[in-house]
Amino acid sequence: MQHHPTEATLVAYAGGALPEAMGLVVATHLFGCPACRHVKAMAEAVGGSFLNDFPPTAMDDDALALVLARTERPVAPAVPIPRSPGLPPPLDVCTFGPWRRIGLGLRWRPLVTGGSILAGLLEGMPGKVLPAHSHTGMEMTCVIVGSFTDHDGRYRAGDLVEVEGTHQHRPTIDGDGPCLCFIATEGVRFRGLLGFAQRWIID
Amino acid sequence: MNALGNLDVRRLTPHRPGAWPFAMTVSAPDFAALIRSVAQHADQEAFATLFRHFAPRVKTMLMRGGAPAVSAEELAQETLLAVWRKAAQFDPEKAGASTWIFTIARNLRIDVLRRERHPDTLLPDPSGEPAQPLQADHVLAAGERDERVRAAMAMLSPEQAAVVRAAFFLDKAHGEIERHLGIPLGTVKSRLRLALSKLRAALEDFA
Ligand SMILES: [Zn+2]
Repeated sequence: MQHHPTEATLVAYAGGALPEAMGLVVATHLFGCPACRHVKAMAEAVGGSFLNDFPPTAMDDDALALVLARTERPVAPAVPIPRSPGLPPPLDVCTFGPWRRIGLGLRWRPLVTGGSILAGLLEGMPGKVLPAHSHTGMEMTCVIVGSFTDHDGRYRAGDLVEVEGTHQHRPTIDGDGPCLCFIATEGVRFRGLLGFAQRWIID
Repeated sequence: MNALGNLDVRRLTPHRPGAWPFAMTVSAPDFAALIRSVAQHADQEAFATLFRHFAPRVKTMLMRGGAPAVSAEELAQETLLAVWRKAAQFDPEKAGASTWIFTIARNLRIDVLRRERHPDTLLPDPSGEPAQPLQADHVLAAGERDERVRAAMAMLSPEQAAVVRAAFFLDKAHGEIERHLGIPLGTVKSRLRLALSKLRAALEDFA
């Protein structure tokens, strides 16, 4: 694995400050990357020290009694979530919509969410070149199967690509088989890879 | 939602600039032992000590994160309830007590935000992340871990500490870090990189 999230992204992930769809992209990378899990663990320890150093805010008078009373009650057993084979954790427990062809030999399978999240699986065939496009917002991609190349390098399974600002790139799907990626972005104004896909979905 | 609009970084500066490498002068309760006692003996006294220390601090953290006092109170109670219920899962070789409680509070908050925004969707519970071994040549005791991190944080300059805190709690995707600190993104990034490399060097053997 050669392409990792930035340290700022790992710290934000550890702090819970990353929009959740992007958190899913990071979690997908972390599943296969011990080095980034190490940074995440360190950042969480920093979070623990923040917690310790915060000044206390008084809790309600009966708070402790209420919680102790609740510890007596039985806990409902957790309902097991069905896992989809072929996807790495944590994506295997996410709900996705159906696959759709979106042109240029690409298929798109949206993550079922609401709000401003746009995220999903994008699959393309080898040899496909996506039109050059630029990014105005933040977009994160984790390669699940196959590989693609842009001017920054080659991205293989597990690699995470983070683009933000006025970044221009022209990804080419290489390798022998299809390339499957999980992509997420937050917000409505974006023109990244996903913006490209979205034009096909909406038009 | 993630805005720490009222984050006052000066008030968050560690108030124990301990000596490096070990600042063991403060005799805090052994929180890890208390959690173990809750797990093994359903020890209500031990739990009360944990509650009195952590619940009010979780509440502060959530309120600084923009939660209204009522929901912060509720979520702080939920966090400590989860500490009781999950006490047996606490592994001091993986994380210090305050780190473990921090991640519980963080995951509960993410979960609440998700349910508010997308009530019908199914996304994985962040606390259900599959357990994975960390790369560790040797492991430290829980209390030692927390002290080491505290000492490492105390080595940062105020500017570096502020940028780490902002990166931790502010919404990166929407430019809140730059807005809050009043410095350009490039400066945020270089300061953060410097701060993290200091922390990394100090916590090198840290899983
Ligand atoms: Zn990595």
